[in-house]
Amino acid sequence: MHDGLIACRFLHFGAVLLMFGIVLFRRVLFASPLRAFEAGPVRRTVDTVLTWLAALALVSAVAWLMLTAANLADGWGDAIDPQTLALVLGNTFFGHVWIVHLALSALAFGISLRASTLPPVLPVLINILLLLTLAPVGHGAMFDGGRGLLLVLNQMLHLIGVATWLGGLAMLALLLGARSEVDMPAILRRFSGIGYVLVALIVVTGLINVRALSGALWPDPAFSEFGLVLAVKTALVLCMLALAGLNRQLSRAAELRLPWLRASVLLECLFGAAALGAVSLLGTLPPMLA
Amino acid sequence: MSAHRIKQALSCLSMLACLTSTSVFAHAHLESQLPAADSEVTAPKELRLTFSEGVEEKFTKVAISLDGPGDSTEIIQTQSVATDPADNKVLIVTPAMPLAPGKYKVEWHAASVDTHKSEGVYRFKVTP
Repeated sequence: MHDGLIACRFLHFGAVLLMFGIVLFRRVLFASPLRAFEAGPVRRTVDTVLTWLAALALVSAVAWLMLTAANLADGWGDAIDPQTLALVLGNTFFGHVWIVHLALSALAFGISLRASTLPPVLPVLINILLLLTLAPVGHGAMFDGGRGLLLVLNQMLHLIGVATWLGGLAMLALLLGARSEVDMPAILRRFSGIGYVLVALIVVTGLINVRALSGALWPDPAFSEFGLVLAVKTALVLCMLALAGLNRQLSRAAELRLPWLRASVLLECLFGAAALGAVSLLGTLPPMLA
Repeated sequence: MSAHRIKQALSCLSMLACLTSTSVFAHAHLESQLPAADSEVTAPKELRLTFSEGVEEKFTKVAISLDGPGDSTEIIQTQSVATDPADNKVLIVTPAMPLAPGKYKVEWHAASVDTHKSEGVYRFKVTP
């Protein structure tokens, strides 16, 4: 059950984060530089990717509920037992959050099917809400009162930073891979500027999270269990930062070396996916061993 | 110094900070209980278990048993297991019948509000 939950967290967080980041990149941050792209054929690819991500988000959200029910009630049968599922949804904190989150997942999937006919503000709004309702589940729920609320708010900012970075990277990879009529150097330079703000946001909110959860700047023991996975995650994020620096150099060059850029962005995406895997594991480990 | 460097330095700082950590924390562990573990009390009406974080009453189980003669034990029926309406860190267990004098064992399986599980056991004694 634990392994299932880890896989589920990974898939669900991955889908929701990417969806948010891609939609924000397309509809808000780079809406004007992408105008030519939105009129071209490659936009269909992005629309299809978004639909699959929305489907994955919905399926993994349902699976997450079922696995949580099985985990709480101590039996695999409880994953499909309507009574247990109702008990989880109706009587637990996770359940209350998840009712809203599931509804938003379904809505996001519906919207992704007819994205071209709807006003762009709709997918942006739904994806923001979908991302934010992920903040209260997990370790953020372990404090009550004002402290818990602040931690959830902090987690929201952390998620927005991470989602914008990862989704933006995925979008860059897509744009670099497809031949479309966009001003790539301009987009790259702008993304790398936004990236600085994002990384600052991610690092600061991440540090606050660790401080609040472990009661220290770094968990103790430092390099086993929670601390070890956190160290791996931090190392992966540092690798991403190094690659981001490389990307910036490459995008400033007089002549754009596309193969290099492509490889560097893809590698950064892989590090991002690995970091996300580490996070999925973190959520199931106690931040401190008593 | 570029912004990139500053951010790297910040991250390194967080790595260094690992050298200065002290604190104790876990998934919902039992912080205190009434009657207290290994204590002697007279006729408690209820058991109060205080955890380090909020627990889900529907998925938290508490089994009370009374040591009988020899190795035998008697399971004590509970009337209710519920969190304190004012504080979901406090779990109140009400036995169906008043606890008779004897040695009791309490086994708890808690599910915290962040859906993690933990368990433990303690004993107390009821004197006439």
